[in-house]
Amino acid sequence: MPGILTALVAVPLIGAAGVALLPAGRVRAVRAVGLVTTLAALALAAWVWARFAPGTSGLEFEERAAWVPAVGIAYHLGLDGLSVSLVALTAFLFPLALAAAAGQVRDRVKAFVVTALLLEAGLLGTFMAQDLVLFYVFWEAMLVPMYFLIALWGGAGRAGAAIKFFLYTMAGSILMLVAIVAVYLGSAAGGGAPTFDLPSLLREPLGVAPGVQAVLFAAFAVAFAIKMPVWPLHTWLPDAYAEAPPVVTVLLASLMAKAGAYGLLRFCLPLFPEASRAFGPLLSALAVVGILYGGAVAWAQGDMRRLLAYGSMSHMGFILLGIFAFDVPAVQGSLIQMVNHGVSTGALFLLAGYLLERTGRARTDAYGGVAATAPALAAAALIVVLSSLALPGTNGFIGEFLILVGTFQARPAAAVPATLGTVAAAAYLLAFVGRVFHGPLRDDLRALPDLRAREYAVLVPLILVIFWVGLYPQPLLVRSEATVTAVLRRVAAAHGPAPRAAPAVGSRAGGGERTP
Amino acid sequence: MTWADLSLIAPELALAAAACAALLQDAWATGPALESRSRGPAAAWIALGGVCAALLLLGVRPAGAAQVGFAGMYVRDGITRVVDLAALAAAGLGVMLSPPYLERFRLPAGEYHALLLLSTAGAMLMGASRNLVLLFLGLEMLSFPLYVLAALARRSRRSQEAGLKYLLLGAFATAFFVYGVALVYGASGTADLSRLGRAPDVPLLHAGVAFLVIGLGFEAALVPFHAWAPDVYEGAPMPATAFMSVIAKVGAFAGLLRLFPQALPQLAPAWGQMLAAIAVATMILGNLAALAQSNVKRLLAYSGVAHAGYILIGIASGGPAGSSAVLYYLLVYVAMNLGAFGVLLLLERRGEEADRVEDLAGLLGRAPWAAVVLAACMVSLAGLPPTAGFIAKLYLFRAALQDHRVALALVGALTSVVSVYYYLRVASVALSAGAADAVAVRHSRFAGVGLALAAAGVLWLGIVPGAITALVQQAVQALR
Amino acid sequence: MLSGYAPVLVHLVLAVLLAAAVLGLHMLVGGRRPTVEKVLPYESGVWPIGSARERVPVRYYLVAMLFILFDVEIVFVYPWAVLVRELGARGIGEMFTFLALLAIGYLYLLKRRALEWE
Repeated sequence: MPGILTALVAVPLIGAAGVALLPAGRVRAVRAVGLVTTLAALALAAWVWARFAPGTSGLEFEERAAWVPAVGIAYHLGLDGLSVSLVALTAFLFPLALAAAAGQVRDRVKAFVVTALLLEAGLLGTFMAQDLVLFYVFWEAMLVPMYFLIALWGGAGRAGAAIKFFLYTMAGSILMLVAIVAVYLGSAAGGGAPTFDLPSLLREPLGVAPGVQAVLFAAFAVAFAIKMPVWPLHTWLPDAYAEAPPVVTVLLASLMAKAGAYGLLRFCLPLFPEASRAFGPLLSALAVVGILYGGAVAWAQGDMRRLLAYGSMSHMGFILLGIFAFDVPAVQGSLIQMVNHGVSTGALFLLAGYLLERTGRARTDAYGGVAATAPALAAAALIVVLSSLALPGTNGFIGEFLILVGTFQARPAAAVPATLGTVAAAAYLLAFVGRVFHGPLRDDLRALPDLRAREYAVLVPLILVIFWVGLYPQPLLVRSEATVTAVLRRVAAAHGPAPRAAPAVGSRAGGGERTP
Repeated sequence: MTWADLSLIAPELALAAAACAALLQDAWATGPALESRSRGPAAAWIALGGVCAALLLLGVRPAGAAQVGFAGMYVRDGITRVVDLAALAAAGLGVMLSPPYLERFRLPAGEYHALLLLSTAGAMLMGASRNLVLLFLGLEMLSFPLYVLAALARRSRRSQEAGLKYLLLGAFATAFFVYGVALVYGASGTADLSRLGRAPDVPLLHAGVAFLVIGLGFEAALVPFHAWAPDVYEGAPMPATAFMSVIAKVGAFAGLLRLFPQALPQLAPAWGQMLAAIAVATMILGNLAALAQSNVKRLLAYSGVAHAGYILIGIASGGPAGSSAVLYYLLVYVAMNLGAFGVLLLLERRGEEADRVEDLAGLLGRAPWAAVVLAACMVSLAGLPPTAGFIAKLYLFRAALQDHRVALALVGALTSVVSVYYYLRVASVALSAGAADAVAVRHSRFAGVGLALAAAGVLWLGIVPGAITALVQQAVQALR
Repeated sequence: MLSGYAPVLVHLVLAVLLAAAVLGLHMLVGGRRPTVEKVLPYESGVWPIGSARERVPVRYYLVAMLFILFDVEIVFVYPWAVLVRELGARGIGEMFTFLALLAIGYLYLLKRRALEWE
């Protein structure tokens, strides 16, 4: 009996099939079916998020069925504190992206909607899969639609950007596939049948030598680091972000990057605790470099989407920093920051898309004084930018604060330079706002229209979430706490001191102690 | 020869009978006019009937213990079953996808179908070989019709060149094979594969095995015996290219399977290294050469070389895991490669084959389903989920790592990253907005059903592979 | 195992030696006085007329090949004919199956008019 998680993956697929059967000429019907499908998925995801019982670290809504019994691959879905909010985020952003796409994608709309729905199914599956092969299937299954979204609907340099993106991510993930098979074979070391099932793998330590564990960890971590991206594996990012159609950039930055960070938490830390500890300082250092490098390069960009791309990379550095602090508040901050980054960076790229849609200009110095002619657009941009800057009261503050607090305890040497990153973010984001929206109004922008009703409909939910998380982050923290504690206990059990207790803000939830 | 023997080869006999019928029917219908335009699809129906009959005969036989016939030369076991399935799938799809092309380019349909069926029977014999002599007969029966098929377009110089090249090089490689059979016999005193396992490990045996590998490696297009493949693939008429690209692999790898993991496990330490080296060279060269191709037939030719390298991973790794990976890959390869060719067969550029990558531009607008099928097959060839190519590669990596051949798995993995570049280029051109004006798309219900079957195979083997994985697992149970 | 073949080897060696000896002796002691007549392709007094590279109609090759094909099959029929009584009804059945297959090929050729010279 398929359960609600299967339904969550199936809804976009069914919607895609439905759209595929519509005649290509009926653009309005195609868009409508696409939107309704994503809204249905959102309703399911919201229900799951609401019903998710905080306080346990185990899987909920679990579904399991034999898939390829001959080699021990199972169809195993489940949600825990790491994934439940990301699933909700995914389902939340897709209807907005499809609505925004209505103004930007006018060519081969049917194919676009089908591809986007396939991408949604892949992303949702990625966050829910509990079997290594099933995870890999979804992981690559979101890569292929993303490639086509960039390659078929992108800007002038789309072909190169798309293939660069794909080759980069594929190079990482195929090594992960080899590592997955190695983990599978290693799981039989104790004499049992080998398995790809994550909870079964975690039941006892992996039967591989420490050196091999380090190699396997590296194979997994590189795949996820490319996706995030982590410096120095980020060089695909500016091209892909700048050449993809603006709504697709939203999906790339908001959701696919999160899949990378999620993978680190879901697989690298629990499967390879010793190696995670060993590599922790290195990854923290890379995170700091990424934060500073991304910020510095963003500041120097003239193209607004490249500016936002590097800014996004800089922000992803904070998430990485939080994860490898191995500290409950920091990791919870990272999880919150994943949601925040999805919302805020997504909104930034959407706004950039609206500007591009209106003028076709990519460079910030081609704008000026837009606030005078489009005040609502400017106000929305300011709110989103401030949330990205982690202004208290907005979502960004909660995430970055938790990350930095946690990191200060665990790795002070990394936390100090990372705070400089917040300063850099202020510099490049405020410069962006200043150059585009303020100053004298350029003559050729006098006719620039303000936000339309459809665009309000997209931005208002995002801004509501920005404030909601900023003022009342409790629901997110409660959901992630038990699982994060369990993961970190596992890492700590490898050797070294136990993780610090949960932060006061989430401690009311209490919690189960089972390992995930 | 007894009735029991004959009933053992009933599927092959059904194919041969259908081949004769197709040949006679077409000769009767069109007389001396080989390129006659006014021929119905009768020959195709007869051939399809033959394939279906063979499948039925395969199906009614219980999947129990191995049966041996023809004085121990022929064996019908799990491996035979899967190889037959792959070969018959190749034949069925080859028959269904070609009618529009045969009609448009006026190729002799009777000859085409008869040769196709005979070649299929040859591949099936190779899969059922328990004796080197039968393996040789199967190899000849497989390759001879292919030589003729390559030269089937009588008016095309390139087709004639392809046929001649294939014949000369193929005959050369076959000579090596026969010599190998002689040497193995000299070294071991037997040509019976089931007794080679007890052969003394003398240099003569290794020399003989080396020659056998050359003969089979030629058919499979393994580096360094692959040089014929691009020219022959490009020159041969496209339906022939499509069919030979898969059937030659089915036959050759069935032969290698019978030879290495099954008959000569004692040579695994020595030959595993050798085969692994060939596999590495084949994967690297095939993929790198494919990168530079702008002609889809050539591209698929080099891609075929690359896939031969992947499949060889399974042979080199040996054992039940390697063998089941090979069998699974063969089934998958048949579906995805014929699906890709099937779409190309629908196209025509000003009275010629539309075989350049740019001819595919804008296919989505004109034949959306064909474009989607092509994209799915390309994704599968690249080994990406959720298609069959992914599960097939997963199987191979598992076999390689289980045999501690990490380097083999890594090369396989990294070269598949390279392959993504050219496969996705084809797919994205087909889905792009442009339009190749000179290219016409023919619609054919017959080919449409064939394409749908190929696409269904690519997805079915990728999404719900349980039934087939169980089949191949069961097929290799007897191996140790 | 191979010792049984020793006489064959001796025979081979002797044959090669003998041939080499005869030819070598001839080269050493024989005289050579080439004349125009002697170096002609046909030494026996026939003057060649025209080029040896004469074109033959392509049908000739076709018919010649088909002839060889069917001719070779006769090889199978001879031993069968000798043993037909011992082989009995089953032998007859097998041979006629074989002939029927040949007949299919023959019918095909006939229908395609491969045997007509025009």
